[in-house]
Amino acid sequence: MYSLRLIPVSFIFVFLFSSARGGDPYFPAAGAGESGMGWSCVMKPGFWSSFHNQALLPFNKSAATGINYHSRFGISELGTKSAALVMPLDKAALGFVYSHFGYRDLARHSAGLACGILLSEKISAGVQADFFAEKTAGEYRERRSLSFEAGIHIKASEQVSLGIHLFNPVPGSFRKDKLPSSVRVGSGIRLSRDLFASAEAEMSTAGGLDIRTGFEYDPFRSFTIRGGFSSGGNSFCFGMGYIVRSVQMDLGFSTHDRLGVSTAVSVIFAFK
Amino acid sequence: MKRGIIILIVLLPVNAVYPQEERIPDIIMEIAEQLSEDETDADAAGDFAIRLYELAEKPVRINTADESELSRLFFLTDFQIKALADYIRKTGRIYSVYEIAAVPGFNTPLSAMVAPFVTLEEGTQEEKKKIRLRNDILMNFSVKFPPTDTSAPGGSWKMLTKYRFSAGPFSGSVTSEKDAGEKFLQGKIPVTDFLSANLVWEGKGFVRKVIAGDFGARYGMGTGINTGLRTGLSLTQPGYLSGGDDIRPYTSTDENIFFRGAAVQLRSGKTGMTMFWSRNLIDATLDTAGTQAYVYISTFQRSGLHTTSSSLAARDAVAETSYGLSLSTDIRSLRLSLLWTQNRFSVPVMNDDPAPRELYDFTGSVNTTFTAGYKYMPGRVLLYGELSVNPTGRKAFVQGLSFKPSDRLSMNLVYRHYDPGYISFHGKGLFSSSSGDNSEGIFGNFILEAAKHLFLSAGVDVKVNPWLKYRCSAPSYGISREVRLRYLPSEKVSFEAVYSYRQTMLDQPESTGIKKQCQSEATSLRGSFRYMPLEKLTLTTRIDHKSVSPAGSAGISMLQDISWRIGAIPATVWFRHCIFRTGDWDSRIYAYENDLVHSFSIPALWGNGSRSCVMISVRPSGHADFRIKFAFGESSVPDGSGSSSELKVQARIRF
Repeated sequence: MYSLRLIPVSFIFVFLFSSARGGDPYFPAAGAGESGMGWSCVMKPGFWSSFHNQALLPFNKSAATGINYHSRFGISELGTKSAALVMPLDKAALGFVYSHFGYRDLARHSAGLACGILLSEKISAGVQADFFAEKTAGEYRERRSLSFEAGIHIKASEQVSLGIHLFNPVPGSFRKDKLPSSVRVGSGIRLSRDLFASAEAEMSTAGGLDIRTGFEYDPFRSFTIRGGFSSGGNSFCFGMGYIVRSVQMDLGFSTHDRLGVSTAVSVIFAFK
Repeated sequence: MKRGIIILIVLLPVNAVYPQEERIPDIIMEIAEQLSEDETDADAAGDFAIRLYELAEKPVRINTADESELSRLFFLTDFQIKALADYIRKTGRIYSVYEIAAVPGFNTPLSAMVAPFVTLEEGTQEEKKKIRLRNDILMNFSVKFPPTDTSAPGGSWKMLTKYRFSAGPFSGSVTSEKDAGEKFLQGKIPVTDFLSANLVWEGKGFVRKVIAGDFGARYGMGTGINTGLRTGLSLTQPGYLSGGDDIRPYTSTDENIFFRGAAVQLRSGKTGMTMFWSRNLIDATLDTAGTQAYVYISTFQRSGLHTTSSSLAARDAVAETSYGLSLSTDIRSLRLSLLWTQNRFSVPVMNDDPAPRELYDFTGSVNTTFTAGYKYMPGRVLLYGELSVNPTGRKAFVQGLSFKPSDRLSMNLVYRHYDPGYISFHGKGLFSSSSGDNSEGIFGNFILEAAKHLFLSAGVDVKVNPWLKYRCSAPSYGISREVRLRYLPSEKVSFEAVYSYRQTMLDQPESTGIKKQCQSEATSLRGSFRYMPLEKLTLTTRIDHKSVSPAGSAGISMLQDISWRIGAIPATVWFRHCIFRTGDWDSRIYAYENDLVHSFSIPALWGNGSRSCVMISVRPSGHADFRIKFAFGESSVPDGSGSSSELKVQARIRF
């Protein structure tokens, strides 16, 4: 029964690698706010974006925890569930993220332990150790991999910031199961107190070049509107967020020119 | 106060020496990748890198230099050299390297390019009189995993050792190299596969320079003799059109291009003369015509690699004797020069069954070249030309024009004609093909400071090959175009975009019988962004795209460079991570990679994969520095040979 179901789902799964977000399939798909901005967030401080670029971790000023669900194209088998925790220290912060993608016969668990530190007023850097476990129906063994990712964040001026992130810059020959590798670079500008815009490029061995752009606008104090575009799959994105005391709720939507709409929802609780 | 400012300006470049040294790889990159595109002359990139490093180690003292000394900045045009000399003569001295940007013919990018290779120090009289022995030893070791050739007789590691000394007017060097796969020591007197040495004396009187041992030479536009770089390589870079005369000690590792003997440079007033004599053993494949009685050269071997039985048999198989005489004189703004040179081979060259393409190839054992050239620079215009002729009547002709309508605009125009069959064994003329013959074309470019901080340059080269050439069995033509836009809003930030297009004609691979030709086109786009958030930290992001036809394939790459000069210890770390995806070998992308001093690396990226490298340079004192580099990459390519890594180690000691 499920073997028939596995074929189309696996096909989409493989297809996703090169088009859903344009980049590597090991992307945590975390953060509805980031999803609403077309994932153009490598330079933008935030709870979930800290796991897109660990150099953003020190910008989290209070301990926080969050959960996220990302439904790709409304297919439950392609959903990603994530949970994360951030603990700020003096000029540094620690983070932990767990993510589960797929369903019983095609699943990937990933866990990461991250650390970010402010190196100077302008520069911060971060690194994350990753563990991946993948299971595919029909295969006897579970594929497990260890790797790392690292990034830096630069505050070029009061308004302009840059982010650089590398995933798995390790020779494939060092491990049994190869993992993709990627490089991601972006820049953001705060155009006014309420408006932030960003653009970034990512290239992964699992996909081509993906150019993204996004914005975030705060029309009211606690309410945020987001929009973006990603060239991978010609994906237009939009989203919104609302903060009630210590709780932040975000909703994000992204389209794909052939596969439909993906939805993301996340909740963050800050321990203030 | 004023005095203090002047002192500060003078000290600034001294403090900035280390960062300027770090600029050298960028300067090499700007040209080296273009050289690599021209597969037939890939080694030129190495020669270019070595010359730049040598120049950085012995920078030009611009405040006391005459035009001859300034011409050591070989990447500048004659025009720029004269403008720089005139500026220093008028103003007395230059106080900051940044001031060079104000010299007519220069701009901010060009002054940044010059900065690592000049010094503002003049040297005291005592220093000039004092003869102090300086020694410089450099050792490079590199190994690749997995080895590329496991059947080679020697180890898969490569080693390069250079020793150089100077003591007043005397200097000398010894270069030793073992390529990967070659035996470490060989011969009756055990030495490495390549060993080169020279001794130099330089004076300021009638005898200007004497070299004994291995040396290189270049005269005028290089149609007669040029053992260095082929000039006129870049369509949009500001320089590379210089036509200086020079003999120089040989320190490169090309094993077949240099001279081995003696050379003398004389000068009296405005007249100069150079004489040289050389007898060098070169690599060639020998054959016999039916019986052993008549031996001839069937092919010259240029790779310098001796790892197979055939290449070992060709090693030093032929003695080449070369000699020549050049004369030059300056009459106001006009320089006239003459060169006569002859090559003799101990074994004649013969082609007993020539293919149509080889119809004009050299045969015999003696070749003579006569060269006459001129250079005329009235005001803002530079006219230059050169004619070289073989006794067979085959000729090479170059005529160029450079002019500067305004300080913000410079233009170049060059026409060249190389007859099929024109031979100069040590010549590399302006815009010549790799074989040095069989091409005719016209080149033009301009460099414009379009607005404040914005620089635009563009160039076009159109050429025809009147006879057949490699991979093209018919007369052919080709076009190259390039546009380069550079925006430098501050010293910390730069943006660059480059568009280039190349069209050549090649045989259709599947055609049989009389081969048909097709147009091969390659279009490249490159964008790069460089940012220095801190004085010690430099970040560079670069994206390349290339498409080729008729294959219809495309390639794309994105790379991130991080260079960090650690403050606490005298060390610098470079890191690169590059992701690439190309459809096939034709759409490969070249990306220059920072490397050891006196070395270079320009990997061809193709397939789908990544390449990373990390290099650490430590300079514990002014007398020693060490570098270690580890590069690794993997790519899914059709032949499956996608994974490799390389380790390089360098030690350098000065005392």
